[in-house]
Amino acid sequence: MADAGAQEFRQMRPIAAPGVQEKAPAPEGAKEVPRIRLLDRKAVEKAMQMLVDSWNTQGMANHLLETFYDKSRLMDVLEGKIPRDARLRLLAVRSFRILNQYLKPASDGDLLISSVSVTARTQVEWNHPVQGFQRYPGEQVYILRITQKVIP
Amino acid sequence: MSRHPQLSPLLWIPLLIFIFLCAKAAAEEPLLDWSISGQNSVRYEYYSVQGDPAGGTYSETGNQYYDELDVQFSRRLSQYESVQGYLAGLYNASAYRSRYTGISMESMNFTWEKGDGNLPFRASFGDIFSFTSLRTLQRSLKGFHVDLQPRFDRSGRSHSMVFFSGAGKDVYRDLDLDEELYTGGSWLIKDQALGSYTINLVQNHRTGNTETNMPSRDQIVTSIAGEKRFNLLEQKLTFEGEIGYFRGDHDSTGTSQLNKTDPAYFAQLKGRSESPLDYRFRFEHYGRDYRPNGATITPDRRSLEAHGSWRFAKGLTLRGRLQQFLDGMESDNTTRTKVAGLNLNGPILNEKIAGLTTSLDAFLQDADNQDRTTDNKTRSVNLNLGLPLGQWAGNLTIVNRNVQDRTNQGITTRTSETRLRASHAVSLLGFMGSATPGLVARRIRGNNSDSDEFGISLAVNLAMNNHSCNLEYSLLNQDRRISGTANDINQNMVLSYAYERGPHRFGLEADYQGSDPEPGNEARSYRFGIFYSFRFSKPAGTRFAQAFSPLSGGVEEAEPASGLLSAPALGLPLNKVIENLARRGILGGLVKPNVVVYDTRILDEIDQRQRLALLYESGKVTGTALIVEFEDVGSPRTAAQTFEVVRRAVLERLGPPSRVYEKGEFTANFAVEVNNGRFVRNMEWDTEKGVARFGIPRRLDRQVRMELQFRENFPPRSQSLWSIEEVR
Repeated sequence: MADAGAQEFRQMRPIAAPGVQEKAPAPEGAKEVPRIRLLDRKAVEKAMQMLVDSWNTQGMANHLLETFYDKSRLMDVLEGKIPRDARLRLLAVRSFRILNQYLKPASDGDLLISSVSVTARTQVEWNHPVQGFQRYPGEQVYILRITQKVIP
Repeated sequence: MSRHPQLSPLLWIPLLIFIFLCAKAAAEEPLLDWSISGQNSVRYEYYSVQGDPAGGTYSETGNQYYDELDVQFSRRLSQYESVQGYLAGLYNASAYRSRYTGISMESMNFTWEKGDGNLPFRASFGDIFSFTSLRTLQRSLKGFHVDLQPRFDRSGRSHSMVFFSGAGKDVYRDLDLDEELYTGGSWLIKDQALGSYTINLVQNHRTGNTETNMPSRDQIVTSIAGEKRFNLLEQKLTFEGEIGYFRGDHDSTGTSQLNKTDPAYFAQLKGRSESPLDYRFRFEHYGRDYRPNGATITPDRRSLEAHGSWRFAKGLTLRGRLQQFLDGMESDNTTRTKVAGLNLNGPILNEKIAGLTTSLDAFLQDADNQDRTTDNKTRSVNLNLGLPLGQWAGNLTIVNRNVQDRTNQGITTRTSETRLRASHAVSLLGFMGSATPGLVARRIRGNNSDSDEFGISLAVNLAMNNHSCNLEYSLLNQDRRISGTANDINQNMVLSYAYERGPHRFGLEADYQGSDPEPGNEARSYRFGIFYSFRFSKPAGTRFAQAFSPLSGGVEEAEPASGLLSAPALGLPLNKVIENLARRGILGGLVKPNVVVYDTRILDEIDQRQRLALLYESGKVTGTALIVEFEDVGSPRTAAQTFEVVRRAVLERLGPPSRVYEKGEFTANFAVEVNNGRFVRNMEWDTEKGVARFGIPRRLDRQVRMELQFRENFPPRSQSLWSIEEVR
């Protein structure tokens, strides 16, 4: 996932300085967080579970940003080559850390948008007609954008 | 799993500093100006596999537990200077949580930002995320990162010079910088008129391994990239490009390849105009030896892509794509893949079937290589339909896939699948939520994998106050039709319960997976888990002891709710609703007889003027409304686009409507036709307290605008004068 814009190289993250008007790259109307807010592990686990549950379904496209590299190719490979009964299991969320955060005003309070780097252990599972149950565990790094409602 | 209970003395240092600071803070309050927050989570899990271990879900069984502590801290020293950071430590005895047992410092970061000096800078130490471009480096590192932003001139041109160095490891334990070290720099120039440009350089070193006979490897990748936005023939265009060059060693092909060089090229043109058409053309070329270790791309590939999308007037979007990929393009056996795809998404046929939404994805793929070891054609159709049926929200998915292997084996595999799910609200022992039963039927033919499969599922989500619980169950019967293959019955069940009160969160989880192949051995896998987490938070200016008092604020999952524009506001005392609005920063309502009007932005993605209206009688709210203005009703194209943007925003919040009524098209006389009743846009949703209606109502003052209203009931649909006349 690239940063806030669709650009495929890094964007300016302006440092607050006298006379500098430029804002960090973020959607229009977004505002900076006064300080990075702690992200609950359960929220990260829930976001990861949502992504993992959508694996090998068309719904996974909804969870990938338009800027996700080779998105359509990934979806085509899943659709064309993976057994239909294959599923991805989330074995554990390992470490995670916040890459950046910003607030987005919404109708009923601010939304806290956090980009998070998550290391997770997952396992692909399916039943081979001859060889029986198959499991392929692995560890990957995911970059998630998690949206939460800020309680006043 | 490595078993090293010791922690390197070097890595104890940050932890000891933190403990010292906490102790000092408790005694003297020197951290009064610091914001400190954190969370401690402890989790115990028990895994078990009964029956055939090879058929079990879990490779590691028995007791698994861990405790982790995350702490964040920050301090603002001035308007232009701040420091912040975090520490994340782990005590681990779980094979799933980490490769290491015992105490580990998983991540830490300290960042100092100062903008009021001669040279504004941001310096980070510890865990850094280095992103220069997709073709050079994008990954987490453990090291340092400095961003210098000199102001060479006042012409509006910005500069950012980044320097970094770090190891590509996920924990600090056994950290060996030589094992995989990235060092680099990037100079980014952003000019208001000329666009953004960057020069990147990344060096990577990996140490040799005498056991595997792998030599030490070094590589350098350089690139220049840029983006320019411009207008041409009423088209708003964005051109982006990058040229990269790789020099050095890699072993991505399984053996070490030394002293290699290869280039990379990328170009993309994106365009849009006032019409509903968006498009982009994309070209990528990566040489066989263009293999930067931290890049995202696929080497030895050339791709050409054309994408386009068209937004129809009623919220339907059609996307199309044509793609060609040449993989292994510099080898003797290039694989060529051609893809044509279509995607249709949004409300459809609503004149005949109110509330019907669709997501159709179809593609044709033709892939072959030169020696014909690969020659296949894939056809895939994936149709998803959503429809409200009374109190149910139904969902039907139909998948059809045909893979034709045209090599000498000549095998064709056909898969068809139908899924049906429907959700219904449920209420049980004070818990409220939803239940979603489902069915799946699948038929697979060809490639010696003939199978008929049938499954059922049930998902129940319930919540009450601070309690929440979920149940998921599924059963899949796989009836294999080829001799020598195994039938199988699979069952999956997940149960979870969570309780949250203030800073405390407690939960229980249980999983079961059962597999009963015939012929074969049965396997049953279980997982039981229990967790507790505790959060603390000390804002700047408060005493450290207050960090452990009950938290007054926090965050929760964002829901696609209608927010203030919701039926639950109906019937509430007006002053209470006004107080709620004030707490959310919506102030300055103009109080009139029977209505209070706020000039405020409710749909944050809409730029047009918005007003929130509270209708009231006898001190109670009888209706809420969002009023959105058109910018220009004289231009049918602009009006149609504005309406679709707002309608899409409303649909995202309220879901598929219960009823839709539309008449007429956006024309140059659109405003006149609204007022003579020839043009109607009207959608309704049934809610627990009344009805939501969105559309363009007729008004006595002939003003044309969009309104979303929540009321207990509305005038009949034939009565088009349903606007709030009091708000002009």
